[in-house]
Amino acid sequence: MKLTRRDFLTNLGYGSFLVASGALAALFARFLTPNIVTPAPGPVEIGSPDQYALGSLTHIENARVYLGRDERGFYAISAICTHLGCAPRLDGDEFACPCHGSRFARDGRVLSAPATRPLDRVFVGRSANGKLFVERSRQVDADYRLV
Amino acid sequence: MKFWRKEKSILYALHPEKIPASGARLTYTFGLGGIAVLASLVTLLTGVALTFYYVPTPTDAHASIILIQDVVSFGAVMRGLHYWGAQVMVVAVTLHLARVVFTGGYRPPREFNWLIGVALLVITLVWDFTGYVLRWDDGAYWAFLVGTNLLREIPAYGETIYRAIVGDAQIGANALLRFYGWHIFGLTAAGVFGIVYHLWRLRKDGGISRPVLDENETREFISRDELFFREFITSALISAALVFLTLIFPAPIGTAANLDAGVSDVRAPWIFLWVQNLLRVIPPLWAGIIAPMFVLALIIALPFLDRRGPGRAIWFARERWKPQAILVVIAIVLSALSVLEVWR
Amino acid sequence: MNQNGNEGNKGNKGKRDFLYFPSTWFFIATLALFFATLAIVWSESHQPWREWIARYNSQNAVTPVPIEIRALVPTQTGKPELCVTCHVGIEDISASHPAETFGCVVCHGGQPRALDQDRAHATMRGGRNPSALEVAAQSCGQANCHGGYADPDAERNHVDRVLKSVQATYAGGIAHVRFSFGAQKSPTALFGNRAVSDATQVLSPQLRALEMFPANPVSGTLDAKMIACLNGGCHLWTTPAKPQAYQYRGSGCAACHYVYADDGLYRGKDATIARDQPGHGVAHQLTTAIPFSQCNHCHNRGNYDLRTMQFDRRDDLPPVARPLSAQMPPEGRRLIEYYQPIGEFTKCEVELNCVDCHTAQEAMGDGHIYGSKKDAQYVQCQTCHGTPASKPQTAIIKDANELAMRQARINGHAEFIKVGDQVIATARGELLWSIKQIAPNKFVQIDKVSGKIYNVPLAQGSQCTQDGKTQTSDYCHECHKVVR
Repeated sequence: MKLTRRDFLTNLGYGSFLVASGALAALFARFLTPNIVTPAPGPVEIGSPDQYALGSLTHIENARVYLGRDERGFYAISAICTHLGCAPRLDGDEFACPCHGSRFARDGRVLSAPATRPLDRVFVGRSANGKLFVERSRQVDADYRLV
Repeated sequence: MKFWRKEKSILYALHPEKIPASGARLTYTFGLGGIAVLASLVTLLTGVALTFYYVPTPTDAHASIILIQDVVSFGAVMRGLHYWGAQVMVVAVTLHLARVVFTGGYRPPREFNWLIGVALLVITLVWDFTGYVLRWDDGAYWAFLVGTNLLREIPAYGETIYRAIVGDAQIGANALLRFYGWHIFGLTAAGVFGIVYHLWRLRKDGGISRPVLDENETREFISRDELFFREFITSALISAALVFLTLIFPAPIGTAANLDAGVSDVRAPWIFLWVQNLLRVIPPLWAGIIAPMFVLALIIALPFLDRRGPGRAIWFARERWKPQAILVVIAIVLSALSVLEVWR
Repeated sequence: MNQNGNEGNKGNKGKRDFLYFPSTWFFIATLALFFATLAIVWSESHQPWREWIARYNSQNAVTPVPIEIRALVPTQTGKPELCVTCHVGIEDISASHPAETFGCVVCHGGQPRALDQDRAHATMRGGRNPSALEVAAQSCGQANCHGGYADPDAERNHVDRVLKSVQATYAGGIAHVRFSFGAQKSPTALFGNRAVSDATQVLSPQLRALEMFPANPVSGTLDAKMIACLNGGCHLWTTPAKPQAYQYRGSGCAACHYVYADDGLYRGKDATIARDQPGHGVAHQLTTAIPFSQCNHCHNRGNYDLRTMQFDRRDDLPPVARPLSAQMPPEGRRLIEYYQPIGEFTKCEVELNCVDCHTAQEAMGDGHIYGSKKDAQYVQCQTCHGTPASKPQTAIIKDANELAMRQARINGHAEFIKVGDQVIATARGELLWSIKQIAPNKFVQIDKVSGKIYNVPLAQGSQCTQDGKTQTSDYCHECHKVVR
């Protein structure tokens, strides 16, 4: 069948319309994708070192960590479940996550599923004025201690 | 099995099978009602998008608009289309009203639809004003302050009405939240319902008004396909025009409202400039409440001033000079007041 | 469309079906839609902030930075600021004000989430210069910064002190000119650029208050001429009205602390600051290591002619196009080409920088009102060199956080002194941290700008015959002037 000029223009019209609609849909999707996001929280000051006894594990709510102290120094265990981000609480000598029942040992190891990864360790530091701080955005390995 | 059946598509169902060609003539309607509907759809769609970023609190409202305007990808386009869609809607609705008056389209059985139409005009204007307030920039804030304080001028019930609308003893977070609620939900619900009702009633009243036929005349019709075709062309062209309007003239936004800095340049939204002008010369109750109400009452009454002679669906028919003359006077007075307000 | 309308169903355009539009109008309408979409995408990819980053990338031979929106989240406020999207590469204002701690808005104001130039800048404090004296109390001098402390004499109330200093009030200049022309009966200062008052006046040359110098004087009068002269840029409230080479400077705190090159050109990395347009600081940086050239942008550029009430610009300065280096004229030419030909200068005056001798209180005021530069400026040669009869006064640094130590740190030479060092103490009790005693009869000085170490000879034990009690520094120039 011979393509007439009218058919050609019509098809071009449909093409333009499709391209424009597709682009507008993509534009909408791009609009919904934010260009700036809330920054990760900075360091949180958590008081002086002598507030935490040797062998203790203390819940620091505003930093969402448990601060521990052993013979080797201070460490912080993230109180965010590695399964889907709920908040495990210390239950006796274990962390229990209320959402889906994951359990972790006192050192963060997984004791029972559904979580498969141990709780993260978070950086603990000492600021110039001698106070301790934790920084959620900096992860450290399980051996890390602030002496 | 056929997946696509045109006669079952909603667009198909929404259009009548055929409409008289005389009523669909471009020089008869100028497509103004349709343009108003299209503009409202554009405004609605972009408005939904804007809600994902807009924060209706005094501290963040202005900053969130700046964010939309400058930082969000295509945010300026989205907001611009919302703004220009709204302006085109106001203009189209007003001109549509004028067209109906000048062609006598309100004649029975369409006089009830006239009232729905006037209600839609009021909704459009309030929609526009509430949207203007949401900017929370310097101009909008003071216009909001003045506009709401006018309510207090109403004798006896002023303070009660003020609180019912503002939600507090003065404007602030509560007021902004309420106007946001009205803007995106209350007025939207009323507007969409009004538009649908207006269109449904149009079909029930026998479609667009048309002249009475002579006995030997036969009526010409255009098909549903032709009607839809024209709608599509108009929509595409108007949409493209809105986009270019947006890109060339970005939607305005001033500096954040600052109560301490005092008033810099307060300007009512352009549709209420004439009220702002009146407020300079006559008492607030008269300028801000009674005068607009009087104009509205006049407009509502226009069909009932018609002598009901011949002249249906004819532009500027002499037999209907009264409503036309009144509308012209209203238009001239309001335009003159607005222009003088801009020039002062 | 009109055409179509008239033809209605009778058309010869082929059968039109629902959603099937064989028509030129269809082609035009969809093409319009297509171009509208194209225009949206084009305008989005040509936003000005993208162009600024691109210009930054082309101006600086560094690894190009990606063209994307950058948010700086200063730890002080925790609120994102997008200024660095366009101002990418701008210098940190100073080591004591790192942008990552303070951000931009705390000083500059403005709308930090806007990327449109006008919107972002509309509400900025003091326009380009947040340290302009009109706004300095809200920016530099805001609470817990350099002002706003409850005790009016608090050393940290810099902005309050500056507002009362002669550099801001110009009280002496106004008084002496009016006195010379008979407009007031004594040379005692009555007026300042702004009205100021001082509740805690303690020394005799200090004044209790100054009235605002007539803001709207009768035209043609002496005061009208003086207002014009003052607005021409001879004090901290203004910048030069028509700045030329060697005169570029900011107003307020920036007049001294924000260094301008002699040609007034910017040499930093921010691509939004024009590099070929004079009137910008050499970099977006504040400093206390203020080079003599910065002082000279006011103090050595010509003469004020009392008779004509005009400023006569020196015409013997070398053209800046030569070019001079950014901050300093070439070594050795300073005295010959740069200093007022009429003056006599000692060696330290042509080798050191002005701030090496003149103290913070002299330059910025001590919080009290003085009626003349003569009363405010008090450091003498003997402050550092002593007299034939005695060594200069010294004091011991007691605390790591005391003023002298902080001054050294901010100047960038913290290593020069430590707690326990003996440094020069002035007659009004200021410590000159940059001159310390290293042996009973030996003093050394660090140049605050170049960091060079100088030996400070003492008058005691030398051939100097000055009478320390009656003879001031003017007399020293008799013997110690450098021959040009």
